[in-house]
Amino acid sequence: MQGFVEQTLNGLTFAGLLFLLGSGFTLIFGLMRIVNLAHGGTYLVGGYVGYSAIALTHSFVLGLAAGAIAMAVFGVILERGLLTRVRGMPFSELLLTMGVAFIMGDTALAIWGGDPLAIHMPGALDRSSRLGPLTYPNSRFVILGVAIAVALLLSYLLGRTRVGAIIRAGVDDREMVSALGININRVFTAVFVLGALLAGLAGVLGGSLLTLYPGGDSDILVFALVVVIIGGLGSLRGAIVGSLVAGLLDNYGQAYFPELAYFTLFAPMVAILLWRPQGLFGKSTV
Amino acid sequence: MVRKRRVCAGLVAAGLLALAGCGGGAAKPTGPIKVGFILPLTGVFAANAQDERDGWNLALKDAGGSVAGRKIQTIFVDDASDPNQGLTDARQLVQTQKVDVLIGPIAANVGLAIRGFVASSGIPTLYPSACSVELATTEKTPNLILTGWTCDQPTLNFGKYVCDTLGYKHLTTVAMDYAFGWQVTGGFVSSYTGAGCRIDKQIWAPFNATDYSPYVSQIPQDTQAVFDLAAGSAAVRFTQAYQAFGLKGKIPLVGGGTLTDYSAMRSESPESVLGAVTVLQYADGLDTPANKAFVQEYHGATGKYPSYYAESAYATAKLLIAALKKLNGDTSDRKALVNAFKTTPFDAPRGPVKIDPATNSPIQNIYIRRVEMVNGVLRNVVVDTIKQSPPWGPLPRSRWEVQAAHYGRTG
Amino acid sequence: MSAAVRVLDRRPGWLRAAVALVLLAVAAIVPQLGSTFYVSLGLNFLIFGLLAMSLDLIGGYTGLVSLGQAAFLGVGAYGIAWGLKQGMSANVSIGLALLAVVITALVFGLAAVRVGGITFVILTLALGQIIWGLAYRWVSVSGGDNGLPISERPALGPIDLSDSAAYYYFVLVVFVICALLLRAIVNSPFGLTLRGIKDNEPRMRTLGYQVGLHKYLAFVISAFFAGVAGVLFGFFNLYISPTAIDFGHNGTVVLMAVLGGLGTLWGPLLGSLVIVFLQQYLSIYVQRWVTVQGIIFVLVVLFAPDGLWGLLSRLGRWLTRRAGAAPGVEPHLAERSVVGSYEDDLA
Repeated sequence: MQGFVEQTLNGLTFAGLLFLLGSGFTLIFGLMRIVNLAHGGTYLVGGYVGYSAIALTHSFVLGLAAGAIAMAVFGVILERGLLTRVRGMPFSELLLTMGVAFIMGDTALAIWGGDPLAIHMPGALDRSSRLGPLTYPNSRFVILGVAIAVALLLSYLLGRTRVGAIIRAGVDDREMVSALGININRVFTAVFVLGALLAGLAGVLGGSLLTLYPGGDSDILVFALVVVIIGGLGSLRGAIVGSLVAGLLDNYGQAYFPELAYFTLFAPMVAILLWRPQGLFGKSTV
Repeated sequence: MVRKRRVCAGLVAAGLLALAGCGGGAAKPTGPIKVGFILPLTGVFAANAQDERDGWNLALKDAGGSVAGRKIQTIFVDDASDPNQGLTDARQLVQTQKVDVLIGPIAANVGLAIRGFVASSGIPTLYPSACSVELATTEKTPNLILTGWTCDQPTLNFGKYVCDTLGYKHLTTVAMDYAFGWQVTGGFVSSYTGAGCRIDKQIWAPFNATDYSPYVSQIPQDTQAVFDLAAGSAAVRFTQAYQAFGLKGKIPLVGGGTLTDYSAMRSESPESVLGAVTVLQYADGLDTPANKAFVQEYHGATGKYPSYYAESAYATAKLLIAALKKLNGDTSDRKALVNAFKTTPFDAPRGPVKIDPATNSPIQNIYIRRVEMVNGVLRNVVVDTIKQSPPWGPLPRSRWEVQAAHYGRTG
Repeated sequence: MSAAVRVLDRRPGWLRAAVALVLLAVAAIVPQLGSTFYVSLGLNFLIFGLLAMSLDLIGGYTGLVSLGQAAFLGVGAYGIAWGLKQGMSANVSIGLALLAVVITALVFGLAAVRVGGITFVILTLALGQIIWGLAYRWVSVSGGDNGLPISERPALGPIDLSDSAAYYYFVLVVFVICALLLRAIVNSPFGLTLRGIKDNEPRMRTLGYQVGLHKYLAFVISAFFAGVAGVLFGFFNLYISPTAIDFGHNGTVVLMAVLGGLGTLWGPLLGSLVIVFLQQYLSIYVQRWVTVQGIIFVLVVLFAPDGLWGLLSRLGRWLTRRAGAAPGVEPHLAERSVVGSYEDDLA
């Protein structure tokens, strides 16, 4: 029973990280129809930038800010500089981001070297708490907390603001939004930058949970894909549920079906794709 | 020509003749000695590859970059940990670059993929860090020599120590779920249970496991100790999770040497590894003049403490230089060179090493180390030494051969 | 030069035959260069070229780009490795391997062709990951991370293929046969229907075509050729491990096809030439070769969206125009008009 509680906590907190990564990914996917394969690279480089900022300033918060902002700036460059040129060609977009992912991973290796780097949260956040018979790391709760805060912010943004209404409308029907005289390109940029910012933030937090290392970008990208496929394109609720399903499945799978560890993620994903290709919460527009 | 080579090799084996005249009767070659070094310079093992490069270059610098009047020229190529690419690299180095010696890759699967080509081309080859027991055979690859270790050599000597000396009577193993993990852990389990102790549980983590919490959470609370085998970033993630989940300080941690090797320990926090007892053929804290000099020199040159990769590449270069000295710089007779590798005992920072002729792998000291803080720096300090262990450890050789053929996922 | 182009352009059939012969001649002298390194570069190029061309059938001609194509190469290579390990003869192992490829494709295809577009890309990615996971996990069959050795190459009558030059020629012959078969398929009524589906699926459905069945067959045929590439790959390296079919390698195949130009059949071959050169050759001299590779992809996507093949044919047209001659019917326009008239017939 204690083991089950602990594994559930593991799954929930890991889901927090996956949500930070997956929410941006799914919004970009849903609105712009871009499978952004550079999302993993954005996560990793964001983490590395945060690591360097922390080493320089000894402030975790500044590190978080640096990782997130640097990646937001990068997002502007990638979206305005490159992606606009191939807008509307999903496959070209996918390949372009794949090329960018190669460059990011290799550049990170050239700058930060191949040694794994661990980010430490400050003070008590880096320690553990006792919950009855359990000892549990505080940092994981921090990540879950940040994820919940971001989820609330996003749902406010999407549900209660004009920009959010435009984004939601854009996910449903891009042409309609353009026809209404709204500059959809500006909305695209905004969403893309938001996604990159969240990925950078996730990178700094992930650096404390998973460490930063060459190849960490593609390891985490696979999880982001799973989250989006389970949850559905462009749906915030889908990203939440997708992260929870992926995080919990991964943990229960590893704990209770270690023989099938590689399939606990992918088999349900295939099943969902077959049953509902648009994901659990996606709109069936694809 | 072929016959002449054979005669030469035979004479070398008998140790009867200085070799200057062998190898086709040509005058002593004067061009550079070319060494092809296959390394994963990109990808997960990139840092380990850099360590090997640093260690190698350091040893060559010590030797003045040449031996017996011939310069040593090293060509580094990237295998990206991809067996197909490693194989192409090997062909390129041997056939087009005409290297005299091949130094092998890090990833075991690349090492296994290359060995068919190594055998058929006859190129003298040294593997500094790939340790798969399948590679330790003279039958299939007479010209391939492991200069680092066989994966289970340290742990075959460790289980009994944990059971008897440390007194942990039942424990749990956590290990990376691939051939390297099976062999290191398999060696440990056979030695541990052979000493009469008991395994509570075996937990296997996929080699690409991102989050280590599900594995740490499976460790039974009443187990007496944990044996862990992880390397690189996985080692950092494991030790971090072990501490964060409150197990550090509650359940003692022992493990395979890569867990606290400097390839991982550069990134591990002190509180997560202090006191861990691990086993390997090398210890950066080994208190001998040779090692202290090496550590100081390496640290001075790179700003890093040496990992076992760095030491092994350094030692491999030492062996190469010693063997070439013996041959007076003549690389034209490959069999003679291989023979010189096998019959030249060498002094590495890790201590004296000689190659066992039957398995082409090292007979060497095995160190049981504990992580301690020395002058404010984490170091693997030697607490016990098994002197000159053969690849089969304390087992009868025949039993080891059977065992080594059957390592796999258990429990 | 341009005059020659003009002359040749008037006789596209002759030109193509001449180019093909020259290329074949170049391919044929590779083993005579005296280094098995060049032979192995050539083998990598032919094998991955075949793999990329097989992807083009499903990706370029049917519009379903698979991110799991390397998985079928894996099934082919593992198939022969497993068969030989069981003590079967090389020929039986090859049959077994290709059978396994077809069965896998028949099963995966049931799932894959139900979806389209980006969903298909991701579904095939997931299916490819499952094969990769099996290769890692099903140790008793696959040897896990260490992979499986492939003990011997088959003998072809009196010819001993264990010599690398002999094996190269064998692969060259198999490659040419497969390439001609693929060309015949894409130009057959079946192939034209596939293009019709790619261009306008609802229309083809309305016209009474069994769209699903066509996609399914294309998927299986494409997988079969990927499996052939896998058998060749296995006997080439005499070794197979999961690395060959991981996420990165699945992506590489797609990049080869797109770099060369999807839907052109020969473009992917060109793409594989470039990538094999980058990965196996440039990596020796340029430490940051991965970055170079990434930059090339970005540039191709931005400036040559129809791939290098498209770039070359545009260059050819530009040269022709510069020569001031009225060009004959250009090859790719000719192809397009064939599709057009075919569709008109259907209407």
